[in-house]
Amino acid sequence: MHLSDGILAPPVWGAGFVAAAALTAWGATGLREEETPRVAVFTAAFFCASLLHFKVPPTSVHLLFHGLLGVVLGRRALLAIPIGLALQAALLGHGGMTTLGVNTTLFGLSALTGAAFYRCLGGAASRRPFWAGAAAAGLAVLVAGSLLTACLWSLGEGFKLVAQYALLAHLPVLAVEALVTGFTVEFLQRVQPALLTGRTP
Amino acid sequence: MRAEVELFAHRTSLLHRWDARWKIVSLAALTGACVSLQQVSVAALGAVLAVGLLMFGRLSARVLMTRLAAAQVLLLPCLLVLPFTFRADPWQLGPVTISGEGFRVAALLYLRALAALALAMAVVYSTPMVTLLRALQTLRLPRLLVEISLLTYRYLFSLWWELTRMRWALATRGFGSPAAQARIRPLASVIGVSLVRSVERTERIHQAMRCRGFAGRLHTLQRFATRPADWIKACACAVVIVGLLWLDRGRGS
Repeated sequence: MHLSDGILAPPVWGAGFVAAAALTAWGATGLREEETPRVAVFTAAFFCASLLHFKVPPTSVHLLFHGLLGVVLGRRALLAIPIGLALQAALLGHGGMTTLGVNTTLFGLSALTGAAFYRCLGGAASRRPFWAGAAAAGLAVLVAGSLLTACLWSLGEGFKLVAQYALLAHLPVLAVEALVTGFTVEFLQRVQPALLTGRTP
Repeated sequence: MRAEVELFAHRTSLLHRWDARWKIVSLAALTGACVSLQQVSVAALGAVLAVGLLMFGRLSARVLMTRLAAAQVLLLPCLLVLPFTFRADPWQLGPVTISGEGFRVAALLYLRALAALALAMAVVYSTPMVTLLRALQTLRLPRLLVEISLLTYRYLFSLWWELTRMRWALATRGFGSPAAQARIRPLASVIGVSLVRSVERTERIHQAMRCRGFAGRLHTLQRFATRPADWIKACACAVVIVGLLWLDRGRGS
């Protein structure tokens, strides 16, 4: 789910940092001071999600939550993702420091896709919050998985089987992530719908 | 959840005494060099040096082994596939064909990843998080990213504690059913409640911080000062980088 250090060539991870910096800068434009605590809480949630494991026989998957980040924070998810990933790499060893840029780009673009889909649903999202949240999270995992597969595929002939395996490994993640995000969005819609509008106090 | 990384951050060693700014820059450059190596033997040397540096930090061997072992679980399965998917340089071992080239690539990727992980751990385990963030701020990381990182690091533990407490509460009330469907809905509610509570608490904390003059810039009592020892360590690091790259290119041509 996260690309490790050492797999990508220096020009690729270098380009990843450039793309991630551009995305983060766009995520930060027009940020108001009172928005930062909310971004920080959801960054913490994004970090903690990788500690929540589910048994999906024959394997065990952990949550990603970038779909939820996209739904709640919109464009601001681009600020939460690099920080969450850096903390995961530093404290847990998930992913890596040199691949931070590439991972940020993959997760950032997929979170944005999920967020755009959720916003497109408009009123339907508040009437059917479970399905809207599940679809947005599923789409975000699918896009992240496809981008990761494309990255591995581009490394050459020998990596094609690994790429296929990586895509396959995303399917149980997609199922669990869609269910958990769907129920969480449904809960938030019932309890505090203001959180889902992407607006801050 | 305790901040395991902070347990060793206040010890004294060669690694701990190194000025955080120099440590970050030097070891980041060394990481960049290690992950761009192309020869297995040089990558092995890089990994040995990186793990050796980590041993200098007077960290608990048990904790380091646990962390390194956890990373192996993620890395090895992917790399074990490679000798079978490459075609070049085949070796016949009974009924199976193993590619020498695939084996070489797998070993290279593994050693590079190990070196990068060891260097990242060397920085994180030997520097308190606040000093690390302060050093990154001095190194011109945007103020906003430092501020959000600081707040995130603070809320991480309260959010995790909130989640753990509520999962215990669920378990004691018989919600520990092994069926995924029965577990996911209560868990999602727990996550939802934790998020709503944390958002409310965080906004109050942030207002309180702003009332007391916090304007987004991290201030600590830490004063960074470059001593001759910092220079010497950074120069040693530069020599290692040049040496590794020279060996790598020299062997390759």
